[in-house]
Amino acid sequence: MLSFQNFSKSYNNVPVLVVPVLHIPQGIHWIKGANGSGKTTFFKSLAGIIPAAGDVFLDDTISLRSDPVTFRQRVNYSEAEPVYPDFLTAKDLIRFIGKTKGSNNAQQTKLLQQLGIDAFFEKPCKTYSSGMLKKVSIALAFLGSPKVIILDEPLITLDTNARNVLFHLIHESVMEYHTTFLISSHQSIEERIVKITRTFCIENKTIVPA
Amino acid sequence: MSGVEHKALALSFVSSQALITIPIGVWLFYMVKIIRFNQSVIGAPQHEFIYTITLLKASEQWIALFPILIIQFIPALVYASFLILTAYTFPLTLPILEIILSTGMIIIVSTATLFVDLKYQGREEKITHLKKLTDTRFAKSYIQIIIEWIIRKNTVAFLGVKISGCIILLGITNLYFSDAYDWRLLGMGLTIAFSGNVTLLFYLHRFENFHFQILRQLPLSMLRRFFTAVCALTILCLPEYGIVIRNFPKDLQGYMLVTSVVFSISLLMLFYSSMYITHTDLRKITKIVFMIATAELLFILFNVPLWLISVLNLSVGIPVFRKYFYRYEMTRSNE
Repeated sequence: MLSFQNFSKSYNNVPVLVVPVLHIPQGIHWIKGANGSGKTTFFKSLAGIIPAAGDVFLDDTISLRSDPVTFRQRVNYSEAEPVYPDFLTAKDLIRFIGKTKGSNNAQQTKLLQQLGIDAFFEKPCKTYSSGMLKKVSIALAFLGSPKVIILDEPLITLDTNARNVLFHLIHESVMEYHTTFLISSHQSIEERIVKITRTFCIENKTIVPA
Repeated sequence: MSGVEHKALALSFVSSQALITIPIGVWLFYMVKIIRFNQSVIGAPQHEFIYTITLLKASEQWIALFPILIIQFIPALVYASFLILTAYTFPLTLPILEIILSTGMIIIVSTATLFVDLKYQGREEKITHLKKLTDTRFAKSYIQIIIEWIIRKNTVAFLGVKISGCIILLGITNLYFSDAYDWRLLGMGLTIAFSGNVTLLFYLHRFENFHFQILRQLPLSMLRRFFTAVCALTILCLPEYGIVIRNFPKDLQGYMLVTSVVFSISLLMLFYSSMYITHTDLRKITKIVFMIATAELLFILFNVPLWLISVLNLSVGIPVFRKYFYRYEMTRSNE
């Protein structure tokens, strides 16, 4: 599913993450690590938001470096602490990002209803609580037909109901579309619904199977 | 200015009811700046502790806030004292009263604003009916999002850039009515006027790489990203184009109008692309822009056709954008 080759991320020439070779198979993977270990940096580099050295291949063919558009079409990302321009509404974000990710209105409407975003769909982000922003961020990660969804701390600020919805969305995506999930969380994941395939640990500036 | 000239200027301010409005206007502008600064300071998460002042009685809060505003207004108060002294020497009573009243008023209004902002912290954000209506009817496109961001978040800079750019182009095009010039004067005017837009480009660059970082994760081709930036900038530069089209010199050939538009856009795109090469702040970017603009002015002076300079700008700008877009990262050190 995801193959890393000489993948590394440095700040001011100091490496913070080095992954010489790593293969992540299809499934739901829990990425663990202490605060500041580099989980978000890893996710952002993998999603293509920030640059990193080396390369990542999706299904051995789609390269993050050589096929940046296709790679971004298949890999979606939800931030740990999402912040959006305060004048934009959830509608602006979901319609715009949905269009670029190839999501249709039916999928968008379904996600809105499931996550309860329809209640504040047409209100600007400056009126949102952190939980509402988190719901929007999660909805954005499910738009289109992603092969990989990266969820950075998806459980923080979510209410119990939204957590259950999220677990069902993950379960549904895996069952129907064989989507791979990379999830970081300091909270426990409901393993009755979401079966963790593998756990990885980020320690000593690299990623190792736990 | 020498001391005598300062005194003469001060005397002219206090001796005319029309001219006294100039320093008062500047103080009002300064008041707006201070109010906005205070609002941004108390709005920052790390300054939340300031709100503990609201636990005091209202009178005690005023006593605490008033000296802060006095200190912030020291530049205005020093000049006001100078004007009062000048008026007193002659003697002119009415200007003294006007100066005392206006400075007192701006300090009281600023203190009251800060008091209210602190008292009603975290109050519900008010959304205008127009925004509610448009949010209900429409979903914004990428270009609209960029334009709205620049205008909403940097209104003062936007207006300043547009006004100065329009004045420069108006002055340049008017020169053609009185004397005979070739296309180079217009070319130099365009270079200077559009170089001012680098501030807007800087905000656009920050928006795409910091404030709305998720844009970098979207599956948008380089061509689409570039085209979107071109479209947004073209729309933002409509005031300048309006001036050029309206006052286009009759002595110049018609195709020069199209070339002028293409040249200005190519110049902006070259500036924009250069922002992706290094991790730079606005000060460093201004230096790069100065160098590029100087080179363009030299090209124009040496009669290099405007269309050729446009081709050169784009043939450098597009590859730079393609090469550096995904390599760029805005970190805390350059944010």
